Amino acid sequence: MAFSQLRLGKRHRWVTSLMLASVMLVMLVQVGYAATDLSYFEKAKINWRQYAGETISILAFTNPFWSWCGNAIPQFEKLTGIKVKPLVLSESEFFDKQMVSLTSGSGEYDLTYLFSPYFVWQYTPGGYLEDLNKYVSDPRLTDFDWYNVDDFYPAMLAMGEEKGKQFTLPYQVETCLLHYRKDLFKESGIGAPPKTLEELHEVAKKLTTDKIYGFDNRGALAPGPMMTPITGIYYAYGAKDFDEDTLKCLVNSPESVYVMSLYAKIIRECGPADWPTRYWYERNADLQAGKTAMTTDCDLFVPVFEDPEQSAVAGKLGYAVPPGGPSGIMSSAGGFGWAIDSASKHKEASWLFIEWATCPGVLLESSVSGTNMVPVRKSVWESPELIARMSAWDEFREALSANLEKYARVLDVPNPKNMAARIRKMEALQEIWMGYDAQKVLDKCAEDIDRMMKEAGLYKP
Amino acid sequence: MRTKSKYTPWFLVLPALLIPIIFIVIPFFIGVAYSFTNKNVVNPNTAFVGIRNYKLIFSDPSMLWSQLKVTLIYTGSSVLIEMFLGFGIALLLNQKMRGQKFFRSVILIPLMAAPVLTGLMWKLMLSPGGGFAVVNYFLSFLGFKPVLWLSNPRIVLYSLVGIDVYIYTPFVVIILLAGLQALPEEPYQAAAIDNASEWFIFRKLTVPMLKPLILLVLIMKLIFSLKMVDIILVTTRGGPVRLTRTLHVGSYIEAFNRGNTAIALATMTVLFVIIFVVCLVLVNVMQKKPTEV
Repeated sequence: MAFSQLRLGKRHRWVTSLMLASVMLVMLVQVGYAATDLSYFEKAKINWRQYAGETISILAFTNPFWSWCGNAIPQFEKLTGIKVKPLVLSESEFFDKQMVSLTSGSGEYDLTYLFSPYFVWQYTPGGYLEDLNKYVSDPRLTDFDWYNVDDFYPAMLAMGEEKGKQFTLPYQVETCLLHYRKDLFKESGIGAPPKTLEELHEVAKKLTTDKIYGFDNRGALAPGPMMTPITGIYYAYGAKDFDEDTLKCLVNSPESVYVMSLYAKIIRECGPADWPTRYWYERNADLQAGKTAMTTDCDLFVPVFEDPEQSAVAGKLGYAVPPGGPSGIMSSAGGFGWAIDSASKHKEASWLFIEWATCPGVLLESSVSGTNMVPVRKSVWESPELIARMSAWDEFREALSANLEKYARVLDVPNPKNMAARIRKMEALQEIWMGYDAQKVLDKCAEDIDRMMKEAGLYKP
Repeated sequence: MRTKSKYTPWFLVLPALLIPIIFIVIPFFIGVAYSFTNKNVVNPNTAFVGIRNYKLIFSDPSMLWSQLKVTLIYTGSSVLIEMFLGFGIALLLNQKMRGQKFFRSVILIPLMAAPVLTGLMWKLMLSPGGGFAVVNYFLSFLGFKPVLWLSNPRIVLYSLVGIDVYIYTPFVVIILLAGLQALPEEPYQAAAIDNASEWFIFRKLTVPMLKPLILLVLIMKLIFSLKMVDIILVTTRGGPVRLTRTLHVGSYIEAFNRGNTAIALATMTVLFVIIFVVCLVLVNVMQKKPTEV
């Protein structure tokens, strides 16, 4: 009997219809991304499909930007005909894998994103990164007017630049903010958020209970914990890692000993007992579950903290510039930017991905409907859609604007061993947290970092 | 009459030898060679520096010696517990009892997942609080406060030993159980006729006959533990501070966090020498004439 002659019973028709509808729904969702209106991209006077058929591989890690970008990849594939194969890891494995893949010269991953400028300093001496200027200025690959490089904030572009070459193009920037529970502050009769580290200590002690950490932060041995969370406060108290001229390590200065001791004390008295094993994943989970009164960290997590579907404290958080010190208020700044491996065999195709991922339309979409924060383009930052979205996050835009205009900058002294030094400093902070003498610990830390710098030919005593 | 060339056996095994030569032996010697240079992520110009890296790791107590101490404590504890526990479980599973097949299957479960996954699972279960803190949850019924399994400096290394024991005891069990089941019956029958005690039978028959296999398992377990890295990296990453930083973990951090490739390779070369010496000693013991029973 031909298929057309089959007659299904009534129940069979229901089941079959339901199954077909489900399959079509799945296909439509898949096709939906791919069939997204591409007219915006077609305005660019380049042939997006000139590398159709190629495959590019991306090394990524789970962060708020990737959670949006990863889902948008079918749009890029539809636009260009280039297949994308991402490998997504957790943060610490990502940094390890990134070092192996970039320094091996294998070109295993065509594209990755670097926390700039810190990792740009690390990877440029070895020639591991491709200069993106030649792709930006190639009219065959980039419609300069459409892409609008001038729309990027110059300071953000500068983070990916080294010696006149552009090694990364940014998709987000992050500064440090104090995140605090307004409801807990009100219940405890605490007025304004703390303005110094000493005040932070007092407030944290007051808010610490059996169920609430007065202050929590990242603590695991990885580059991340020593970046945004504490760097601004560290420099605000007059401490610094290196002498600008000689690159001698200064982590054992009296100012550094003071800040590191006090910070470790705050964590010990008011934070989680397993602090040395915690990344931002664990810290965020506790904050979102309502277990944390205060933290200092990147502003980029705010869209997640303010999403009622993911966070029990949505609407209860306040934001302020980080606590300052005798040298004023300071916040470290850095940003993730896309980079091409100099050993990649698909550089032009990789560039098309970067052009797509950092064009005004995609970055607007990623910030307005996604979780990408903080924008690096003026058009996105000043867009009515983003302003409307941020208005729901009390104080956030105000604190962030103050940071971006006055307090946030790259505080570290540029050098290729900056990241390695941060990890060594994190070890020292863990030792101080455990109760070891801070001066002795930091003296040893300075000695180790000086040795590392000498080995790399960067410090000549 | 055809005469066999004396090189024929070499030609026959050459294909099988090529793979370890290309992928293990040659990279090993390249690594050793680099350990005498200043190879570094940030310095593209590699130069020979003699034994400078070795002098450095031997002279700084926070480097090789601290890591060696952690390695020896970790290895000694885990191997000791696993050998005794594994042998004991193998002896039990060798008895005829109800559910013998079931228990023999269940004991293999820890081996079925990759150590990295099992390490992650235990990291969650050993957390001090939260939805996954299974161990502390059950301890709370006995009146215990939450224990900081992976951040208390006094116990963190032994927590990792515990995870190692969970994963690798079944390995000891299945090999020794296979050995027990292959033992000849006649000596046991003769011992039964002579009314020998269980302890006598165990000491004078079972252990001597199983000695080659025990030594083999011991060698393999020592190698696994001496070079353990995956469980530690996914749980504590060598922390807090350096309390769980073994030689291998220290080398990993030196290479992939600090970019000091040559120093990492120097540490790995020292680890190789240690493992080589240990294996050499034990293999010599193994090659001694087996005890006659």
